[in-house]
Amino acid sequence: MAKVAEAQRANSNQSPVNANTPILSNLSMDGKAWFIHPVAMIDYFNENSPEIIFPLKTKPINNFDMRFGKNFNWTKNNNQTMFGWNRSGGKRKHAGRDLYTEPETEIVAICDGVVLDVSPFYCKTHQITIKHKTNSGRQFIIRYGEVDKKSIKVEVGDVLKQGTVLAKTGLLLEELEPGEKSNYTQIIKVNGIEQKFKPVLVINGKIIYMLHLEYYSGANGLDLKKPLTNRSNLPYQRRADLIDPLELLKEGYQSTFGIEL
Amino acid sequence: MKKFLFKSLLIILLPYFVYASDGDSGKKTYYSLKKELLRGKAEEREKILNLVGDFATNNRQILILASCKFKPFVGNQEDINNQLNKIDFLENYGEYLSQNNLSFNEISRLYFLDKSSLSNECNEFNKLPIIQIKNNLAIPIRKQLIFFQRLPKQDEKNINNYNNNVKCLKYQQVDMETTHTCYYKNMTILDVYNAMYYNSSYVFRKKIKAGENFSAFYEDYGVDVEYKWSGKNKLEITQYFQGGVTYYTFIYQNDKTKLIKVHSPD
Repeated sequence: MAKVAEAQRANSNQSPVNANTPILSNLSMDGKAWFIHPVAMIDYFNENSPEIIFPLKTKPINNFDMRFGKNFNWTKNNNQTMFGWNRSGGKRKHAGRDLYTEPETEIVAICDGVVLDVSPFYCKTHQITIKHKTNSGRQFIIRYGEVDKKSIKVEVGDVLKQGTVLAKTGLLLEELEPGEKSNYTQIIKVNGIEQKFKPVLVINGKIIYMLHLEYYSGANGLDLKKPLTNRSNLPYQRRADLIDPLELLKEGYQSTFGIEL
Repeated sequence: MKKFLFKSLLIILLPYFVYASDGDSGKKTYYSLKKELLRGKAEEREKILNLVGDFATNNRQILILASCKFKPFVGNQEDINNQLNKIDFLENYGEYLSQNNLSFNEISRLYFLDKSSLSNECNEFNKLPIIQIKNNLAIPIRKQLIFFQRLPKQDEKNINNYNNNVKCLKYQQVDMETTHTCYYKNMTILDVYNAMYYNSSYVFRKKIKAGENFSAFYEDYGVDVEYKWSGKNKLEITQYFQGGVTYYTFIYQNDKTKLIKVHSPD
């Protein structure tokens, strides 16, 4: 520090090249100009970026510390948001983790990857499937489900960097019955015609937007030659390499929010 | 005593029937887009579909197409001809009429966009005539003449009954699943199904016959569908989407059809 201060004093008598620029950012301690090689900086940032980040820029609202409390806590294995919770009265099981959010929250790529598929998912929402590879070489497939169709920013074949915004969280919608009125009516166009819908999931008067995240280890291929949804493979009706994304999400949560779960 | 029992029954039943149709007795007529006549590449056909929609409704001379409102043009045959001459109709679109066994003389009415519909999305139709020709509507748009065909009378009756003869119970939500139960008076299973067939949201793409099981995969939605009959009075339709399952159960009993619809997201 003494040398830095000395260098600053030595330079303080000279008129600066750019009066708006702090002197220390122009010169090193020996008075020579700094030079930052762009490729070296990319490598620097790659080496220092986290393996995994959280798929949302903000914390889910069904966090342990938020309004939905323990009933919908995505980190726990005791509620409908968890991997393996019953669906259709137990005929099948939940194939991912559900992260509830405020309306249209941005979803980001958890690490670098290539988009394998963008297609309809359920109840007017879409899904984006990405083959990921981390800095250390871990490879797997993530299906980002129940995303808002109109907000999708990526296409099949796109090569993505970690943190790229993919889309916004979506809203599951179902048709209004004839004559039915809803406090939460949503009007969207289907085949060019405006139709009235209502949200499938409303909890305590709050419309639930969400990201449904599925994790495939890649043991059945890092491509979609074998489709991710497989009705005959009970109870998840998914490909055999489906696994619980909880640990991956916790890793990302710590990187993004600095909190260990 | 009878009066008391009747009143008590009403009080018990009232909370269960939460909504019913508003009883609009107006007889609407309906038109379906003739997709098979669209020209151009798949992308262009998709654009046209998104622009004009696949379904139009006419209610007391107000035409609703692509969620825009159109009113009849007031004038005699000469006035109609003058309007069509403005877009060189015969020269530009005459071949479309002859290919569909229609003639210029069969044009009976024009509709134009109502000023109240001048939103950005409806602007594309501004000053564009919608042409009534026999049982068709024809729209000259994007260098094509697009046709809508009026539905068969039985299908129109089904849609009107579907909207007017319905009573629904309050929907139920358990965990992620929602269940809706509605009763359609004086309608068979096929009547209700055929009314829903024209709403593309339901993904009911096949015209069906009672008792015939059926299954298919619709690639654009990534959905497997299964139709299973139990006798002729019960039909179960299951739609396996990539991210959830929708179940429809139709039961015909006592001159009405009960429809139970369950949405079960992943």
